[in-house]
Amino acid sequence: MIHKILKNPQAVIGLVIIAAVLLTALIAPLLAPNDPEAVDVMLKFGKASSDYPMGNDALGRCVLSRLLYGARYSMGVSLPILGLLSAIGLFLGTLSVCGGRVMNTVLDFICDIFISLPQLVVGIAIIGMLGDGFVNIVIAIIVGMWAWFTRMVRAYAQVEMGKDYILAARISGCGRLKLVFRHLIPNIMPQFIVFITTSIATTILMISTFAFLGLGLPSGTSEWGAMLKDASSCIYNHPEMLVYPGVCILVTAAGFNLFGEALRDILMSGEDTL
Amino acid sequence: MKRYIIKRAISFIPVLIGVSILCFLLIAFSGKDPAEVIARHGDMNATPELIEQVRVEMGLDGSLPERYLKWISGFFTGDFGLSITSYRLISEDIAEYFPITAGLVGMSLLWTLVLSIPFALLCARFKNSIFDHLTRGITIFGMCIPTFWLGFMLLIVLAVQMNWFTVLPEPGIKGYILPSLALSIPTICGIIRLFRSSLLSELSCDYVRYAKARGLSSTRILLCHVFRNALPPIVTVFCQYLGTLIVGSAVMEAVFSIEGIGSYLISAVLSADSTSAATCIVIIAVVFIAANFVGDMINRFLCPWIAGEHNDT
Amino acid sequence: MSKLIEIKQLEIIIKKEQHTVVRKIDFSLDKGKSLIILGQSGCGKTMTCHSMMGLLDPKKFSISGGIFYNGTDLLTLSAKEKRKLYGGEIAFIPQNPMTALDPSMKIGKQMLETLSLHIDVSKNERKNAVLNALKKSGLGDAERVYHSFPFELSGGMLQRVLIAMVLMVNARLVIADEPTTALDVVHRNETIEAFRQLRESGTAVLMVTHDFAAAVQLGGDIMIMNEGEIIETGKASEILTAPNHSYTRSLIEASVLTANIREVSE
Repeated sequence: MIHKILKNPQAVIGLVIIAAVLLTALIAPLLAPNDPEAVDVMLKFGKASSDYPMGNDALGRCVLSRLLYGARYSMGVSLPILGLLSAIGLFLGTLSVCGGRVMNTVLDFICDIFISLPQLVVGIAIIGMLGDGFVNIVIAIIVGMWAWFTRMVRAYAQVEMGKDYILAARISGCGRLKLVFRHLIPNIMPQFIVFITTSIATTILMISTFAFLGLGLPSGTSEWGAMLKDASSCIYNHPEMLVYPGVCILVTAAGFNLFGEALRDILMSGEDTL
Repeated sequence: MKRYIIKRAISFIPVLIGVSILCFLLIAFSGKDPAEVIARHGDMNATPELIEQVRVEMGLDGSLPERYLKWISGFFTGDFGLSITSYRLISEDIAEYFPITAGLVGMSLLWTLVLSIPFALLCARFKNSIFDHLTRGITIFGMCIPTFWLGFMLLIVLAVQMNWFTVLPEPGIKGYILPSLALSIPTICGIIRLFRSSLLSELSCDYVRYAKARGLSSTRILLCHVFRNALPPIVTVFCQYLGTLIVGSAVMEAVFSIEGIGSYLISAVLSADSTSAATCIVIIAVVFIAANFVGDMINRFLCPWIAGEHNDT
Repeated sequence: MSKLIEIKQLEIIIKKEQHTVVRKIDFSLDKGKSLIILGQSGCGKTMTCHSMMGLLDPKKFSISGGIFYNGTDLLTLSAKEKRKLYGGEIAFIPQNPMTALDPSMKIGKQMLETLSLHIDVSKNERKNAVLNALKKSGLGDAERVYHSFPFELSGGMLQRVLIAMVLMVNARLVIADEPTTALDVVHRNETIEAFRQLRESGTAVLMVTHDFAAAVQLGGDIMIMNEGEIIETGKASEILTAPNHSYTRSLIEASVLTANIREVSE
């Protein structure tokens, strides 16, 4: 498996990007030349210099440092969200398949309700209710996306439950819990990991969308979406301020997408041509 | 078929009720008291008695179920009450802003249709050609472009530098071109990838081989047979995108300073105007559910065997 | 005069794995005759018939040798010339009738599509030609079949539709890829009977199968294949009763055993 991933150039590019962003997020304080929050009005829109390699923004803050710290927000919010979402999805999805008819119908109905609301709408409504804050963003995105994860796991699990090896395990007296943990979950894991990886890209985009709309994070945060929002007022004079944060979002999300799609190709190979 | 349509339509009712209750709870438990806000709007030093009077006038003094029924009846009478951000009737606000967003979303869907289908067909017809590889490479990045950033980039290049457009909203269709393009590009990229793989999986079906053995040309097989059979997943996703695009247009409206239902929703949320917000959310959900329903019907029309499969199980 | 179809030194190699699936085989078939290619799965019989139908992707397979139809090498024809021939003079019957037709197009339309490509009939006559072919293949209610989607018909009916497709275009050579494996016994008998009639009317029939019973029923010539090579050739009645080769013997024994088991369980 690992060998196959390393042989696929797309997967390697994706992995390199992911590793780079994760590393940046971890050691941002070591990499950043300046304090990302330090305001110095004298340096407003300062040109690139040895102290400020990418210049300064409207409040004289170091652009490079802010971009580097931005990786912390992107990773620090999206990875916990995905961890929680996967746990919720696996739990509710398998519960829905193995927990009997009533459980399945009720969960299905609740999922229907949440799926009829676009993810961003749910997020916006939750932040409107709970107010700003990190934890609130996490909650907002989880409430917006949990139903999709549950549905996914349920769909995978239903296919898997119909297979002969599950029947064999049941006949040989395998208990329900053991069936789920020893057989079902390991077998749906590959497809689910592909789904998770591509969902990280979606989450990263969603977090910066929230920040751009001014939802969830206090203004002036060095999150990429928030930086774009701050820079939007100087579109005429300093358009380059708008370019950098977007490129960061794009590259980070693309890294996860490249890796996820390559993984899908590796797992489900064998297409035919006309 | 008729029975199926009715059955499906009825099955949406409980979901809609669930959505509206969820939204209503958001209103009921949000931080601000609308009666107080409205009373203070008229008189900064409103007395508790005045606030109470406004509350009774607005019908906010009843129990939760009563208030829910009053609010939900608005969807039939058109009376949702007063917005505490614009101090106008919510129905007036929606009537003004909704068509703008609808135009934006409609144009985005048009771009999506016009651009994604030919690209996907060419990719599938010439699989593993340079064109195919290039398209796949571009679309995987295209899917990850933040729409608001793309909007700004289009503005910088086409409005600030080339002067083909203006940064401030333009009247008429021209004002929609850039926002709808920026909004739809990630969607287009996603649909090209999905349609390509749907077409390729259809191309490996038995009937394609038999069609070739009957002397049909590859292009004809692709356009007359495979195309139709590969459509259902695309129709489904396309209809799901509709809801996402309405909300996504909120972002575009912020970038291009357009006043639409999306930005109205955001400002309602930011100023804790939960009645307006919940009303918008329910309307978006209705559009979303209706779109999914229509998509389902289109699929049944395109591929009658879907209905056949359903009857077996 | 040369035979209707002649295979000379046909070799098929899967490019990716450099695996030879068919090793320089020769055989021929004349009009009004039938040939059964019999062998286990993976012996190269399906590859042989797919290469004769031009269904192998030249990007994945390298094919050498010659497939001569009325003296012209099918392997050297242009795509356009191939399309004229395949589905018309050379007709194909695929393995599984349930998945052979486009699921979302009515049977009649798919048959008209084939007809208009190969037979020169005026527009008004086309529908009648299709209906006649359907009737000839034993589908009494041809009008209903004409307006049905494939999922609305049973496997046996769909197999008849495929045979009607052959009758409709007056094929001179029919290549059938395991036509009986997806069918039950009754429909298998019907299909073999249809092949017999085709043979009597002067059409050459090439049937690829691993089904001994079908081979016995059809009769004619038989060719045993294993690992891409021809093991032995001869009259079906002779080979199946007195095989010369030990491989053929073991094949027959295995199939007799399964046939017995089938009888017991039925």
